[in-house]
Amino acid sequence: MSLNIIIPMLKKTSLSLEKIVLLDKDELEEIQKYLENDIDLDEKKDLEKAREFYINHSND
Amino acid sequence: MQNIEPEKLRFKIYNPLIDDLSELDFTQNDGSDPLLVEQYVKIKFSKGIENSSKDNKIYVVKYEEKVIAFFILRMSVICNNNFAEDDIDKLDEFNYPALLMTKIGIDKNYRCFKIGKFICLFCLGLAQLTNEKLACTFFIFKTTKSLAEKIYGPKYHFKWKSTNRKLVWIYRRIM
Repeated sequence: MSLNIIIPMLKKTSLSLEKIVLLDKDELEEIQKYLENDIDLDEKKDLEKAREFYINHSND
Repeated sequence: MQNIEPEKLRFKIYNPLIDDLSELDFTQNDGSDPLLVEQYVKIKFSKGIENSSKDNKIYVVKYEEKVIAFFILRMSVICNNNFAEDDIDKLDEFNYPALLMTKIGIDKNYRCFKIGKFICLFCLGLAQLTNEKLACTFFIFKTTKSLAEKIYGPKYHFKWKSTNRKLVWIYRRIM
C-alpha cells in the first residue's frame, strides 16, 4: 500500500504516520506467535531487572 | 576509561539550555552513519530546535554530569503494512501498542560499556509501568542487522525477522 493511501486513512484516526511501525504480514505473524508463546524465564527475569532499574533511575 | 559504574548513570529529560550534544560523536568506527543519528543531532540539536513534547520524550544519559548518550521515545502502534483501504474500521485488529525508540545515540568514547543495555533496561522498565496505565505490548526500535545479531538478540533477548536488509526492526514483549 502506498503512502498516498495510508496517510489519508490515518488522518481519519488519531494516528500520525511517525507513530506507526508498518511491518509485513509475515513479520506481524512472527510477532503474534512470539506473544502467544510462554515468556522465556531469562527474559522474564530481565524484565523484572528492567522494572527495578527504571524505578531506581526514573527520578534522576 | 576502564569501566563505568552503572549506579552513576543518570537519565534526564533533555534540556536544550544545559545539555550539549555538539561535541559527541555518534558515527560508526568506519565513519558511517547508517541510522542517521549523527546527521539528526547535527541538524536538530545544534540549533536548539529539538525539544521534548507530550508526544516525543528526549532523554539524555549522563555519566559524572557529562552527556554521553541520548534516546527518543514515543508511543506507537505496530501495524500490518498491507491492510486494504476498506479495512479502516478494522485497524484495531492489526495494532499492537508499543513503546518506540525513534533514535538512540551513544558517544563513540562510551561504546562497549553496555550503555545500550542500560538504555534498554530503562525503556523496558518504563514500558512495563506504561502498560499498567495504557496498553503497551512491545518495546521496539530500528537498528542494524549486525548489531541485532551480535548484541541485541543474543545478549538482550530481542527478536527480529530474518532478512537480507541492512536495517531491521527489533522488538521485545514487555508482558
